[in-house]
Amino acid sequence: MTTKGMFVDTTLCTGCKACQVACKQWNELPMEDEAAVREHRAFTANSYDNTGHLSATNWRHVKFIEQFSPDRADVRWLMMSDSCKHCEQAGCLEVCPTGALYRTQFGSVDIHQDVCIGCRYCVGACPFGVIEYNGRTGRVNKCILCQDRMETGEGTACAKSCPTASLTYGNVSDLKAMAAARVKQLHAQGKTDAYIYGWDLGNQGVITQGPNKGQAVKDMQPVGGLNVFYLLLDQPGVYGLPTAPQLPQRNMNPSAGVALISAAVLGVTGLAAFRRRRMEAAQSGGGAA
Amino acid sequence: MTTPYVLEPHWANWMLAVEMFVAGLAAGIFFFIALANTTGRKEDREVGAILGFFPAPLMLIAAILLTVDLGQPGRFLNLIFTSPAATERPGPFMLNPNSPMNWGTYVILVFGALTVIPFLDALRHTGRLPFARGLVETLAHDPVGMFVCAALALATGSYSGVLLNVTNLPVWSDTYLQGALYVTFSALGGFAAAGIVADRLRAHETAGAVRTGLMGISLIAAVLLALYIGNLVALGTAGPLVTTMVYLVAPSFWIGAVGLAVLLPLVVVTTGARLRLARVDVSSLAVLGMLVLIGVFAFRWSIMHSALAALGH
Repeated sequence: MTTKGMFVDTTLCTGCKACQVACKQWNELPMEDEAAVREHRAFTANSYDNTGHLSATNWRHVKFIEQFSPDRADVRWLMMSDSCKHCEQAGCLEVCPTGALYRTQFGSVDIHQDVCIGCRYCVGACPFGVIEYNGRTGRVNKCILCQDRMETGEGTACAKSCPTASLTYGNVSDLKAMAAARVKQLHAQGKTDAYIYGWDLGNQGVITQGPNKGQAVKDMQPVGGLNVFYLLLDQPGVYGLPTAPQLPQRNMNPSAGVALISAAVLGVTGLAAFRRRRMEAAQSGGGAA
Repeated sequence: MTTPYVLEPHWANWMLAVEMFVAGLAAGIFFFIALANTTGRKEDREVGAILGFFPAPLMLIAAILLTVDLGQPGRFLNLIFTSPAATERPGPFMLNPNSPMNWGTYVILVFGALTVIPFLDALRHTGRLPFARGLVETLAHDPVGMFVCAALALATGSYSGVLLNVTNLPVWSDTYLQGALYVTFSALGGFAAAGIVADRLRAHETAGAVRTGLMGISLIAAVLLALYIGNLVALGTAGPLVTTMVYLVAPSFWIGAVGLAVLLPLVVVTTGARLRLARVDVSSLAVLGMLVLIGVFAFRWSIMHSALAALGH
């Protein structure tokens, strides 16, 4: 089966949130829990960005980034519809101890809800801060790329509802070609800041607006590539995306190895302690008292 | 370096700090028992026998705390047996080699079961075991068996550290030394507990071994802590552990982990200084043992909460 994914062209996003609504509606996602409402995490009300972040009940989130020049004469809004990236090498899937997180036949990362034990290990493993624990169900949730719709060939609800084609669903190979063509088109129009976050298609440019004006940018291919990938106009950090996301497994063998060496040293130290006890007892004046 | 975008798992961190402390203490005590039973003398084995009462109940407490925190005991079997719904995973037993939690589940399961051996040996030693005395004694003192038990105890001691290391959370994932520190502090806890029991039993020779052991392990911990802090400073991520007052992380770390658990045993053992508690009939070693145990808990507490402090919670 061909790998399916989405291409998010942020230059076309108007911030209408139709994708957020479609996602909530199709997946029957509720309002966030009472604690989130109480702590103003459910509805920020301090920007056009209403939820502030992805969560167990917000699988899609439209980011509003407002940029001003120092004299505030020049302003621009960057908008980005964010979700799970369905990484080629997914940290969440890699650490899942029960097999609840799995790779689907479409290449996306889905969750067997009845297998998840709610250990939340995957939450701290995702470098993008996507997957979150759902206190209501005792399990984790995130975007599953509308698995049920994909199985019937419908594509994702968010892409279907996008009025500007900022979100495009399809075969990742086709989407990459589309993205490469779009970046070339933008560069030809003088918009040299356009580049791809998710795959290295060989593009590079210079930021033309905003606080990072003049900085160089180029395509990024984090964690083996992202099946949901983005066309950006500024540094990844501006969009709340990590510049160097890593898999948590990078630490596993070194950490276990150092622990093993320490355990061996401790074993030798313990043995030596018993062998030296007479000398020690004599030096300390004879015993426990 | 971690990314600033990773989310907090929303674990009950105080409960996990306690759970890691008791499980680590059980591992450390079992480590001491294995040493005492295989290389020690009669007095050491007596101390080891009494210490045998502790690992099994401590592991039980750890299991209860973990169950309360996760709140889904009915689903825990999915950690061991592959759920029929997890069709992508082959075989009847769940094993994801990339997941420390999966490895740790098996290690803790086997170690938890083995803690029954010293418990039964303690019952045998105190004349309360009505059956299989010979078998229990053989199991509890067999050098090969005890070597395996000690290895599993140390694996259990290091497990939580490796687990936290294999995340993308700040501080936890910023160094490779987390597992090494956890196992070292487990051993410190085991020897500290042995010091208290040796004092109660007036086991003078064993007390000498405990002192030497505490000094050696503290030295290892000091070296590891220095490397750990140096590593975090080099990455610019030491702040949430060494300076923040959130969750009392920095005081726990400096006063508890560094002061009580590492420096105090080094100073007391090398200088021969005596520690006393007013109006309490305990020796210097017992007081030292109690203070080291407090320090070991403070270590777990500070590390457990440092990532939260880093995330601004």
